[in-house]
Amino acid sequence: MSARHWPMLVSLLAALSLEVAPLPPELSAWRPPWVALVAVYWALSYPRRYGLAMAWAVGLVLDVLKGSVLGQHALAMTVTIWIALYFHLRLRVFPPWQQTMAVVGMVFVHQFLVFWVDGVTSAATLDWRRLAPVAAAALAWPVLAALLDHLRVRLRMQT
Amino acid sequence: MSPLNPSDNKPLFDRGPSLGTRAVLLAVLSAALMFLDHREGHMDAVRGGLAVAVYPIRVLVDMPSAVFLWGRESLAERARLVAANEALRAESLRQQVHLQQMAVLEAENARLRALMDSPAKLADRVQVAEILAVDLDPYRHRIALNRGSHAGVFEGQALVDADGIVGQVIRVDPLGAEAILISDPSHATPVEVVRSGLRTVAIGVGDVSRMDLPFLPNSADVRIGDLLVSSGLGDAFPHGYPVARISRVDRRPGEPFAQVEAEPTAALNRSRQVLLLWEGGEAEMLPAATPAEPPAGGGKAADEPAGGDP
Repeated sequence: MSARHWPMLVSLLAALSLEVAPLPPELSAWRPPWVALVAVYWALSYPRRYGLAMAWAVGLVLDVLKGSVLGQHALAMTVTIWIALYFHLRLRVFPPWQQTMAVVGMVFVHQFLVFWVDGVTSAATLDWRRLAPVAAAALAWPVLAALLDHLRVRLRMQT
Repeated sequence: MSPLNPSDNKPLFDRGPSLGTRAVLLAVLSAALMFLDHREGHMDAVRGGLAVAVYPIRVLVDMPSAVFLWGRESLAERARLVAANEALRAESLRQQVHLQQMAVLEAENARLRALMDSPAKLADRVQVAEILAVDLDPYRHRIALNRGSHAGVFEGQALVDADGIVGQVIRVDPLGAEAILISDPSHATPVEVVRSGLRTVAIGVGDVSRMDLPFLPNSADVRIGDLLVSSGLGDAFPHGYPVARISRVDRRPGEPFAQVEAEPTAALNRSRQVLLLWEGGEAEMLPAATPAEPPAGGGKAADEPAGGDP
């Protein structure tokens, strides 16, 4: 780990904290999948540097943090970042709204995989609120991307 | 997002396995982990190692609410503190009176048990643990605690609060633990009706104010308001702690089982503190006055922290 990795590490740490930060019970279903969004951002920005291995590792940490079955979020993150990397050349030149739509699609796949594993390992019920994080991601992504873009400009990050 | 980073362009010849291959490999690895963790429970070492790294995040997330509580306490008005103190003193006095009778009853109970040659039960030992203000999963009723195996916490340990059983520990790290509440849909509590001694199972439904008792026949002797206590069967919970109160009995003539619901007595989503319970275990004869040894399951808890036996 060299020093140039710290913006990614700090933002992921913040995302991990937000992922379990206490919310009022009515809002807790609407929590955006912060870790997935931040990981997608870094994978799109530096696809040669932050790839599947980062996604898998951070997914595993998320599993331990949330107390879910080990590998659940690791699987979801791997597939999400795989999609992001596969389309990254197109996604990076998309206008913001189109990019948001693409990210929402990835978050949908992410949520579906999490729900699927929940269903296999325990008694998960199908609930429309399972889609709430996807909607929340549509709102969170433009803000997050702008914020991290700003951070990168301020830090003069260039590969 | 800056459109192009020069050195991010693909090199002419890629080395190593392709993106798809790596994704498939990692997905298979994840699936293997899930199988080993869920079906076999072999991943405790991995989880324990990572949990130590993850614990600071939980503490960090808990900090705002901890600071808020601390601030509210240290900035409270003097008059309110005096009032609260007085109320607590009165409460304590009342309980002391109850305890006086309790001592007599305990001695009598021990004598009777001795007469019947049945083993006496030692008093249970408790320790306060704090619930971290951490949301683990909105669809499961799990909580994170700030005590771990360093404090002698063990897997399967019962959690109670002032009003009844809260849940049980399902995972222990060196510094923290995770517990499942009795209202979790995948949790069942062996209970008995105090009034009639009828034994059954109370199952969580994912609602902190409701539990389901699906295995009571229409002819079962239950009424609204009956207290359910833990039956001690299944060795998960010690016998005799309140669990829930019957809130609905619906006898359906055409069906084999009645529809019975109960309301947990413990404040499942309202308290910030819970009590970890160490069962006294079975003593040979008369109960000793000293607190119980940590149970065998608790293991290496010789350097027991102070604060037990409040």
